[in-house]
Amino acid sequence: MLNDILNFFDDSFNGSKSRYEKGCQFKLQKQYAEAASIFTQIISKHPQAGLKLAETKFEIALLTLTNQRNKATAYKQFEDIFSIKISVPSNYDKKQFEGVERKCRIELGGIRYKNGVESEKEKKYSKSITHYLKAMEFLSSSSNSSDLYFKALSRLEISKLKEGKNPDLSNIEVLQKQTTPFQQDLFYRYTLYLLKNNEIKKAESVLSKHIDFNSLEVEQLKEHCRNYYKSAVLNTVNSINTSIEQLYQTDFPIAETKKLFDTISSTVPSVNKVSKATAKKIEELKPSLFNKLLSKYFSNNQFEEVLKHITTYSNFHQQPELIKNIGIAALRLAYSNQISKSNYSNIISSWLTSVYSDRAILKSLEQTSWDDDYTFTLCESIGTNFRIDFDVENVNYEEVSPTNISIGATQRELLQAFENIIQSNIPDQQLANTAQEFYSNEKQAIEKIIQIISSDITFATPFFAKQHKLASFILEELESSYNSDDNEEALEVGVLFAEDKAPEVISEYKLATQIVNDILKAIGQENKSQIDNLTAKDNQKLVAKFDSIKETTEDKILLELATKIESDDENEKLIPIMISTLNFSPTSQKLREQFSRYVMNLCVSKINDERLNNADALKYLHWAIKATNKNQRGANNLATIIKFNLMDILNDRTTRTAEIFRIVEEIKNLDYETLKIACSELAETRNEILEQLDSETRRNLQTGLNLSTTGKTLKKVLDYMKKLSDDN
Amino acid sequence: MKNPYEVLNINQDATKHDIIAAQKQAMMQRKFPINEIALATKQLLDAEKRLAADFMYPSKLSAKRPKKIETEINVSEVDLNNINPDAFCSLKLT
Repeated sequence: MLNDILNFFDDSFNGSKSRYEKGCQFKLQKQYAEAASIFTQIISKHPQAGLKLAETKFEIALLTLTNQRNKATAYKQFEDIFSIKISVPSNYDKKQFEGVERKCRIELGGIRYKNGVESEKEKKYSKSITHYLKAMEFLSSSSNSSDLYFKALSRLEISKLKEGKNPDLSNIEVLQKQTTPFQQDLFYRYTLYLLKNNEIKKAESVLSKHIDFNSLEVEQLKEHCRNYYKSAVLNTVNSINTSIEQLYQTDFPIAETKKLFDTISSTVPSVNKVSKATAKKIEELKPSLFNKLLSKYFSNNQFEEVLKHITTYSNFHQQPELIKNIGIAALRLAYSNQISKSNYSNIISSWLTSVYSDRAILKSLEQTSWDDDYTFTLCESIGTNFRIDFDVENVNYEEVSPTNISIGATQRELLQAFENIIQSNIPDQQLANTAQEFYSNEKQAIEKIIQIISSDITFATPFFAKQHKLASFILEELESSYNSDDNEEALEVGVLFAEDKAPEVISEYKLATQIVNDILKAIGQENKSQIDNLTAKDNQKLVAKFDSIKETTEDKILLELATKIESDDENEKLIPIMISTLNFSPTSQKLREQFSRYVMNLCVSKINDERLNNADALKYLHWAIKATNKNQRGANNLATIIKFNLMDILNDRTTRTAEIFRIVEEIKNLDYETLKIACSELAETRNEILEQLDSETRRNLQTGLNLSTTGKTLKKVLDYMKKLSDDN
Repeated sequence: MKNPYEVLNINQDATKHDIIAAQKQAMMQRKFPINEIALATKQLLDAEKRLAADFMYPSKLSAKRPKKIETEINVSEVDLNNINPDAFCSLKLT
């Protein structure tokens, strides 16, 4: 039975094999109907028959489409090919079959696209939309058909716009990046659509990107956009005009004046795009409105508002009258006891910036009309170190006389008035101290930049300059002063004005200053590891770059150490700290002497009271003599402590023999005159020891033979005593 | 720190003669203590100090009195419905 079945399949396969070959022959000879018939019969018997049938039917459908121009039949034939897969055996060639299917989809997509175009031509947009969507569905799976896909997508959105439907924004976004032949049509219609929906900014963007060419229609679209902005400007102008009408009525509220002023400030840029002339007229309203608000704030004693109002006005620092007003507001705040923790820096810096402005006082003079023959001189003025250009007729640079009044004296008078206030009008003593210190620092800084800078820029205190973006101008001048004159004072004061973005040399100076300050702080805290980090080579190099820092660092460290010594003159922890600072200033004789003196005093005092062991004393005094070798007292102390330590070894009183020998060995190699003199006493000690020994031991010590461990140690001690004293 | 001009009730352009006359007037009126009147007079008769007093008067920016804005802007309406939507019809490119 089994054999019968197997024979049947063999016969069946052999039969289908020959028929399959026949079918292939028909296909090659383009006898597609015959080939299709055979492949259909053996589809379930031969694994390749299904694929061949699909390929044959594809050729038939193509012929239908091209020869007969029958799209509907061809469409059906292409569609039928997808159903062949159902009848083929499971071991069919999947990859090749999918290739045929992909080709079918491209053909189907093409047919649907053409149908869409036909519907569009007949103005049947719902239909065209359906065809294009279907076309895109067929075409989306094949990368070979992307051109047609995007054409269908463009036509789809054009059809929607033609039908008055909303376009799909994600499709539009995709198409903005494509180049189809329909771009002009699509984006022209889309712009029109956007304009009808009042989306002017979007329409402008599409217009400028895709259809910015000469054409009557495009020009009309542009005109519509311009009209939109023109109308907006006209509305603004109407609103401003209404406010101006009311402005001089007595009950026009200050808040409305402020609103009008802010509106003007914010609308000028957009009006400028439409009409420069109108923008200029609006801009010209600003000073008078500004003045009106200023007067109101002054008359209402709203001095903080005055400061805010002025400092938010564009380029206020270039208007001497405004700099003057800043000073007045600051003084009045101070005078009316309104200095607080939150505003003292603003008030003080505003006042100083104002009084140190020669142009501000010139402005005051310009508005003065005394009935006198006085003239005024800037020769002693505090606000500049050079002659400024001005146009005030009764002002000169001549010497002061009873009729040629010193502007500088007036400025100093004003400064004194403010100083009197901050010394007596701030009840909170802590705040008074802080304010006075701040005043003094700000004053010194502005005086310094006025002394250094010879360019006609706005001079301001550090706080004011940083607050109002004036620091960069000052820093630029200071950097230039340093570059041309090597003037480190310019860097020193520049640090006070430096922010994140300062000229490199000022940043370096700031860092160098910081390093020194941090070292002083670390000395105060006895933080040796911090000092070692801070005194690294790179930092030494940076500090050494600036003479003014380098020259003062030694004294600052000396002073800091002196303060430490004064508080505790027997602090052993200070010794390694002092050594670290010596590494930072290796050439400093003052620091070396301070160190040597400190160590010597500490060792003597502690050894006498037996609070320091001989080995540590040896270690410290060794460091001290290396720091300065000219001190005979120090050398004598060291020689004594060497003797103590060697005797400790001989008498077995120390566990640090190796360390002591190592230090003595190092001392032996030092070539200091003071040390040679001091060590002569060791010869005496050596002789005393030798006298106590019998002759055999002495002989053995001389030859070095027959020595016990103790004998060897004795020989080593005596040898060191000899070598150290021999040099004398 | 009182404004000497206010104490003597005179303008910034007062002459020396005006100042002295105002001092007498102020003394008679006694609106301010005598020492303040004396100080104000002394301040205004000293040119350096008087200049300092003048400095304390707020200054204004030079400005014209605001007037209504006349603009040349004209809006010539464009009727979007009259614009030919098929001006760049691309069907012929299909």
